[in-house]
Amino acid sequence: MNDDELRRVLQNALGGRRAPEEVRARVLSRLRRRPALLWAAAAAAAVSLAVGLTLLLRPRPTPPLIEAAFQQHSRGLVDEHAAGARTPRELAEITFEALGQSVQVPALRDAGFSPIQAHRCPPTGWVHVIYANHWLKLSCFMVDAAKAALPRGGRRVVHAGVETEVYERGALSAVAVRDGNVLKVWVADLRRDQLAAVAGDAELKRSQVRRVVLTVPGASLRPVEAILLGTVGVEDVWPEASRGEVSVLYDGRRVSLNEIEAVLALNGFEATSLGRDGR
Amino acid sequence: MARWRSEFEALLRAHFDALYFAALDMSGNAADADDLTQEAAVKGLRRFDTFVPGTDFKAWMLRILANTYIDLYRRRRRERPAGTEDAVEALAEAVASLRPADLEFLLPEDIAAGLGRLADEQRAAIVLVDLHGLTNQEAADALGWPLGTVNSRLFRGRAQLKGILRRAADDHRAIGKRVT
Repeated sequence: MNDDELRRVLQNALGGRRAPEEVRARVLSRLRRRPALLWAAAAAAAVSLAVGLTLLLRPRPTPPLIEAAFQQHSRGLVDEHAAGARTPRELAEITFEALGQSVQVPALRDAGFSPIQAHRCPPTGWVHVIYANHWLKLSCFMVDAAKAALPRGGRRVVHAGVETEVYERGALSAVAVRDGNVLKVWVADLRRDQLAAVAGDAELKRSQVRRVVLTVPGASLRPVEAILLGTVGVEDVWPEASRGEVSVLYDGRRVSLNEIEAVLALNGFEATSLGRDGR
Repeated sequence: MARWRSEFEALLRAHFDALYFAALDMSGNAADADDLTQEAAVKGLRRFDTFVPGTDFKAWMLRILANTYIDLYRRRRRERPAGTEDAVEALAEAVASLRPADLEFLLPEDIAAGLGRLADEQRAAIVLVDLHGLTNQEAADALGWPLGTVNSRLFRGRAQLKGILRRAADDHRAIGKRVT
């Protein structure tokens, strides 16, 4: 059954339902008990408009770090930098070399993006991770926060408690967020609130995402990869056929290592955890 | 102002069923649906000055409702641990997909129940886009997600739902429970 047919099934089955009369009456009666609401709304709208215009007309210079991020994102892939990485092991190594510390590369599968490349940029000292899906490329620049402060001068946007500074350049948005010792600058052809949501979610998830390397002896890794990618909570999967291993990134809030192993066992694959980074 | 409120109320009455069931389908329980509908109605009344007469009031209110739902969802998501059944069932139900012949073995309540078994994010996307006709971009704006996220959640949610409904139909077929 294709998606259009499914849509018709849903609409035929669930369209035309009637809400309980008591719910309808309750909601409407509560609306009528708010006579001052509309006056307050009108006043609030006027104040918001005045404040908004003031903020909008104020000029905002772009900090050099953000400017460089816009340019590097637009220039795209490998350009005078080290060769691109693909596996999470290589991403972790490149990040460690660039930043001198072990930093978790943000997991964006929930947002529909996979990391496709990372490279170091010796002149700036940052590592540039490129994510992509079928429609969009997204850059994450990570730099040691001791070498670069959180750029100010953008619009402050708070997403789910995560504070970000947001900039715009044409169709591109940039979002700067400080995560402990690392400053991250995200750039993409997205609206600023959308990119702030992506960056904010990545920060919220940071402490929950875990990586494990599984060995699946004697098995083709393609079906293992497919099974894992269909498991709720698994962020990403990278098979390393030469080693007979598969590296799994997963959200610890939604699935545990035991559950991942159970899913594979259910399908006839006996997997053994080698721990984080295969150690 | 009184005329403004009565205009809003008239529009709300005309689309109340859709709004309430969108809240119920997204939240999965009547208590939350009541609260969500109430809160969305109050927000809609507050923002009625931004509604352009003659445009789609239902879509406008659904966006407000979705925004309200996502606030509730985010507050609760952190409190809910991962469940074993989710990982296992997500796999099992993704394997076999729904066929037109399976509809003979499914009642509307089976379909509603199937929708209720999806992950929250997937269910919200399917309710807004497939059930209530918002575009993918409108759903993305309402839920505060990137468009790519909506697209991937729709893709996975539809696949999951087809698997869940196929399994329900197979179970009914096994006991001879045909509905048409």
